[in-house]
Parts: sequence; C-alpha cells; structure tokens
Amino acid sequence: MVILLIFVVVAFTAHWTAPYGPEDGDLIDQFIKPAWLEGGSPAHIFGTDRFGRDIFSRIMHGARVSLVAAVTVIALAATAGTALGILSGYLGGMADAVVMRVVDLMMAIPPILMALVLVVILGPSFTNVILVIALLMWSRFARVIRGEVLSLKQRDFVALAKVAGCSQASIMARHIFPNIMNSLLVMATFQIGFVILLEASLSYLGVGIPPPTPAWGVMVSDGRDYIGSAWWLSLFPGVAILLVVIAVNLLGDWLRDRLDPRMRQV
Amino acid sequence: MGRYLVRRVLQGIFTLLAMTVLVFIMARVSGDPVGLLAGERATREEREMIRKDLGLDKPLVTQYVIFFRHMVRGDFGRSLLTQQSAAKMVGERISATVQLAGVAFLFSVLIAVPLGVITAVKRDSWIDYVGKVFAFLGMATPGFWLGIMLIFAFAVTFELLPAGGRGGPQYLILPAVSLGWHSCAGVLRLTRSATLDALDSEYIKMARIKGLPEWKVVWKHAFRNALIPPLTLATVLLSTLLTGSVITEQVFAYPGLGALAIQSVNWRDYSVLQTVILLYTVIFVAMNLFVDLMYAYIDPRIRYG
Repeated sequence: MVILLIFVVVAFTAHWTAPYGPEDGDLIDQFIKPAWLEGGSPAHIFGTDRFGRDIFSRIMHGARVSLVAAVTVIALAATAGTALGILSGYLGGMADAVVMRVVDLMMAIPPILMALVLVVILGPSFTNVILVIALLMWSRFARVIRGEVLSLKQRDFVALAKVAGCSQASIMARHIFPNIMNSLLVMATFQIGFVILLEASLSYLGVGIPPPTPAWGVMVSDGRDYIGSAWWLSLFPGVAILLVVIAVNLLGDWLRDRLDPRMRQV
Repeated sequence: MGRYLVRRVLQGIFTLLAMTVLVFIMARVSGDPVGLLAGERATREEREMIRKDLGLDKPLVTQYVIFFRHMVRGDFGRSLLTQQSAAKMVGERISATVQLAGVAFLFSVLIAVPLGVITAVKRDSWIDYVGKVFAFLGMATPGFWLGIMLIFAFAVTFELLPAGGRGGPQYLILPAVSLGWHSCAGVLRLTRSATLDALDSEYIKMARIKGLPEWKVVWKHAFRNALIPPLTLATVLLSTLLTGSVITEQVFAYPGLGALAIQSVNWRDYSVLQTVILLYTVIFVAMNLFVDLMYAYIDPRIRYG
C-alpha cells in the first residue's frame, strides 16, 4: 500500500520533484555508474544511460507513463466490458450469443500477438497502445460480469423491481450494477498489474510507447545492449515494474478480502 | 459428448477464419507494396502493371478469396526479405521454439508441483512462507527483465552460461528459466490450494484413522487427487509458453518462431508474419480445444452447460 502510494505521488509530482527532465541528457555524462559505486556521481543516484540521461529521473517520469496508461486501459476496458457483460447477462438471447462469441474469439488469441498485430496496423503511439490493450482486456471483464449478472438475475430484488414497474434499463443501471461494483473493483485491481506487464512487454519489443518517452519497458530494453558494461540501465526500471505490480496485487488481495470473500478462488 | 465436441470444433474453426481475415487486413492496411516495389520514378503505367501483377486491382473480397485459396494449398507466399517461401522459413523455426517451451514447461512443473505439495503440508511454516514470497515475486516479475538479469548474472559476471543463441543444452537453461518463471509461480499456487483442499477431505481423515504413515497419506492419497487442477492448468501453460516465447526469444537472440515474428514485424515482412501468427493461433486454438474436451470428459456438467 505504502509502495503504491509512493509511486502514485511520484507519478504525479515527477514534473516538479525529479532532479532532471526525462529527456535531458549530456553525452559527456553517458554511462555514469550508480552513486554508491566507484566512479558514480551523487548527482545521479541510479547512474545515467547511453545519452547521459538520469535513470532515477526517468523512472520517476516513467511512473506517470505506466500508471496513466494502465489506469486508462482499465477504465476503458472495464467500462466496455461491464456494459456488454450486463447487457449480455441480463438480456440473454441474441445479444448474449453475439457478445459471448466475440469474447470467445478474443480469448482464443494470444494477447501479446494480438497486440503486436494491432499496433502494427495502427502504428505505435501512446494512444494506440492504450486502445489496443483496452481492446484486448474488455473481454475478460465482460465474461466475469456476465457470470455475476446471471446469478443476480435470479434474486428476489430483481423480480421485485420488475413488479414495481422499473424499466429494463433502470433495473440494469440501478439494481444490478451496484451489486457487481465490488467484484468489478477487485478484478480491475488485479488486471492493472497484468496491464502494466503487458504494456512494458510491448514497449520492450519496440511496439509499445515509442521513445523518447520514458516508459519502463523501453528503458529495460535499452539496457539489453549494454548489459555487459552497464547493468544499471536495465536493473532499476525492472525493479520499478516489479514493485508496482507487487503493490497492485497486494492491494487487490486486500480489497478482495474486504469486499468480496467469494472471489478467493479466482 | 458428440454434440459438444462438434460445437467446440466449429468454434475453433471460426476463430481461425476470423484470424485469417485479420492478418489479411493487417497486410493490406499497413502500407502499399506497389510503392515499395516500383520505386520513386515508376510511371503510372508501370504502377498499374505491378498492381495487376499482384492482383491488387481486384476488389478486397476477391483478393481475400485468392489469399485464402493459396493458404489452403499450403502456399503462404514468399518472404520479401529472403525470397524464401514463408512456410519453409517458419517450418525451420518450429523445433527451436518447441524445445524451449518444453524445457520451460518441465522446469516450472518439476519445481512447482513438489513445492506446492510441501508448502501445503507444512502450512504456515517457514517453507510455506518462502513459497508464498516466491509465488508473489513470480507473478509480478516481467519476463524480459528477468532474462536480462539472468544474462548479467550467469553470462556476464560468472561466465557460466552463454548469453544467447542456440547450441547445446547449456543454451536452453537461461531462456527456459526466464520463460518458465511466471508459470512456475502459477502452478505453485494452484498445487498448494488443491493439496490443501484434498488434505481437508473425508478420505484423508479415513486414511489417517487407518493408521497409514504420513508420507503415504500425503503422496498416495492427497497428491493424486490434488493433481487434477494443476494438470489442466499445465496444458494451458504449454500453449502460453509456446506463444509467450516471443519475448524470451528476443531477449536471448534465440532463433525460434518468436524471434522470426519480431524480425518480420520490424521489416514489415508480411507473408512471414502472417504465417507465424496463423501458426500460433492454430496452436492456441488446438490446445484450448484439448483442455475444454478434457474438462468435459472429467466433468459431465460442462457438456450440458
């Protein structure tokens, strides 16, 4: 929790608090070692990269990139997935059949390949990467939400709402939706970790967020070529990814135990 | 069972067809090959001729039908880069990726299953705690980063293992570990919870009352019943490992399917990329189908669902 909070604060304040700008660098300062090693400089705690850019500052700026990307993806995917999941679960029939076939199709394609193909079609950019990952993620939400709605539909309060003369739209929005809020929140939290990893992997492959934007995946990937001489290029951004994902997963565990004990198996 | 089988196979075929449409669109949308082939100074007539040659003057649907016909006959076109047949290039890479995925699979299952059982039996002991930390780290580690760190530790610092490429068994160790790491954590968690469930059941109490030695209770009675969920997950894993190797291969410069896919993305070599993606989809669909059928075989409720 604390870790996550730190990352969120860093993400939003990096613009003012980071010692250097994400793209500022001086070629004279390239490949400076982390501060505690011989040859390191206290001005660059985690050292500098090939362009002399400060790794620590880039990680701070990268936090914003990764978190904004992940949260936007989840917001988009959860909205679309929830809407379609409720519609398909509550209405059943044709709507259900169509939505579920598309969901099956999405689930049958390996996500990393699908992302690869779509980014190649659209061209890599920050917006496109977010759109593509969201496009891959909504089906997971739709499937789980539909399952929840199917069981809620049988409950008495839905029948009562019908008797009271509520329209279908209002039953879905006012009676079903509040009851799936908890599992939606838990699921969204767990998926954030997955999205951060997926975004980093795409960036690593060079089809994610294009440089010089300081995305963590790109930073790790830059370090691959210098692993023999400058290990700090890859190590620190990777640790940042690891910490954020752990923090998000812990938050997910905590939320699940508080809000939705039934989800323990998922 | 028969009807369920037919339905699932039809769904699989539908997925494959949808994917062929998608890769077709991908190749057509992302650039005009005529401009590339004709060069800057080509006249309008020359361009038209190339267009006709490639069949690009026909309507899109007709083009798709032609593309599809060739594909069914096993003709996936030629690589723009090497002029080799795409099918052949892909075929040469399959065994490398299968090897890598296989070793990664063995690595994760052989470590995760015994460890999962032990952590369940010794619940809340230090070893359970270690297992938990390991599983948590495993779920959160980016595979490509782990790969780079392994290269740094074992290839650069200690010079024990090669950093990349393909050769004897020592070339497989690092890629397999970094590829299998994530699934290892998953299998570990599942095995642990399945074993806990099994240990909690009536027949285990019965076995204990009968006075069987503890190791026999655990390994003979509980283990066998706990194995079903991890085994089904394992099949899913195998397909995830096969397709997930894209990134690992890139990190270790390992000449498999994934590396070929990335190379063809970078060079916009669409016929090769199409072939790789279709092959991956076939693997994925076939594996999923296999798992679903296995589930249906074990649990009759699914067949009628």
